[in-house]
Amino acid sequence: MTILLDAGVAIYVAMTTALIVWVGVFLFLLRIDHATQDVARQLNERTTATDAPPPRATIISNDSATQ
Amino acid sequence: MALRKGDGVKIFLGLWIAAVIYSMFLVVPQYVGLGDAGRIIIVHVPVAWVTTAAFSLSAIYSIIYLWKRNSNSDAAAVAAAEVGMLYCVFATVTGSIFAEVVWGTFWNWDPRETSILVLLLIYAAYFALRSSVDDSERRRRLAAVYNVFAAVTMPFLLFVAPRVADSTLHPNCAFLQGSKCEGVSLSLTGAKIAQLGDVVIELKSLTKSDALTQATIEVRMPGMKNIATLVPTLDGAGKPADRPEFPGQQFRMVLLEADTAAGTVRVNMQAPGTNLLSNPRTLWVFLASNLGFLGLAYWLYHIRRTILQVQLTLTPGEMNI
Repeated sequence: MTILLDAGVAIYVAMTTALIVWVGVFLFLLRIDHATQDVARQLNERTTATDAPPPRATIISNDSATQ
Repeated sequence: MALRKGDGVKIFLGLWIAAVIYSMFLVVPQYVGLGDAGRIIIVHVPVAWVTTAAFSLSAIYSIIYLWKRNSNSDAAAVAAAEVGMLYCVFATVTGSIFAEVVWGTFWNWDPRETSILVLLLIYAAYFALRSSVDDSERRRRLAAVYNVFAAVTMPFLLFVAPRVADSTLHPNCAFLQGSKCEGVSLSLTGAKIAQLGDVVIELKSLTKSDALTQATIEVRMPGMKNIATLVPTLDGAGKPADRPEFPGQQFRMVLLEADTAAGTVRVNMQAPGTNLLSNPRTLWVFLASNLGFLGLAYWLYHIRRTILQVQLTLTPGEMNI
């Protein structure tokens, strides 16, 4: 393990570690971002469906139509 | 994980920051006096700057909330403050790692370290305030007012207090009282004695040999029994060469200008890391890092704000933060 601390190697070890951590953080953020977008979209759709005015129709009976 | 429309920008940001990390280690040169530890500046300083941007954005949304009483503005203020807090902690941690490597201790109550700790406590109190008030309208109103006052203290804590302090280990040309970062002038025939911070310096001689100009300067420091002699030099191109350390200090003396015919010099005190950005490669990576961390902060803010807005839609008035 001490080879990892050698002056010529340590900087590559540090860079690789930093890159691995960043890739992990990035993928985690991307997942959270997707999940958040999904929830926001579903909620929007549900809210829009709830807020929509009820369908209206005029029922005209045969009796009134003939009068 | 399937990619979606809009992911292109995020992947570009991911690659950008990966390139900054690569450049930080393999493109930026070592800085004399700091070694590889100096590379952390590429992350530490941009993160600290983005902290101020995030806290400022938070304050702007708090003002908008106080003006329009729109709960979405309050959610935006909270999201920005949380990102600012996260970045502030990251800046403090990276600074502490740097301090351990270069100054030998994780924490030494340097004015800038102290001021960032105070800033952290101020914003920790913001979140504590939010969680201590049950009534949502009252919580939002109080938090918004507090947030505006917190933002007012920020420029003082981050930019003014560390600069007016008598001494700091941070690279900072303005730590000298009344200094304009230009150093002080000494003359063999005129004013031989001057003061750099709390150090008294006296020009004893000025010589030029080959391509090297040497100034011999005596140094008296508070609590120092003996007088020390430092010999800073200029190379043939008129650039500072030897920068001797003040006895028992992290600071170095630098010879900025010398006129051997007139017997005048201009000297200053420098902390390790001063002029770090004068190297073009370091400067470009530093600027790229600023952009990358700003983009990352915006992304984090956007995610958090969306989550808070979803929470608001589901339970209006009951955002438990």
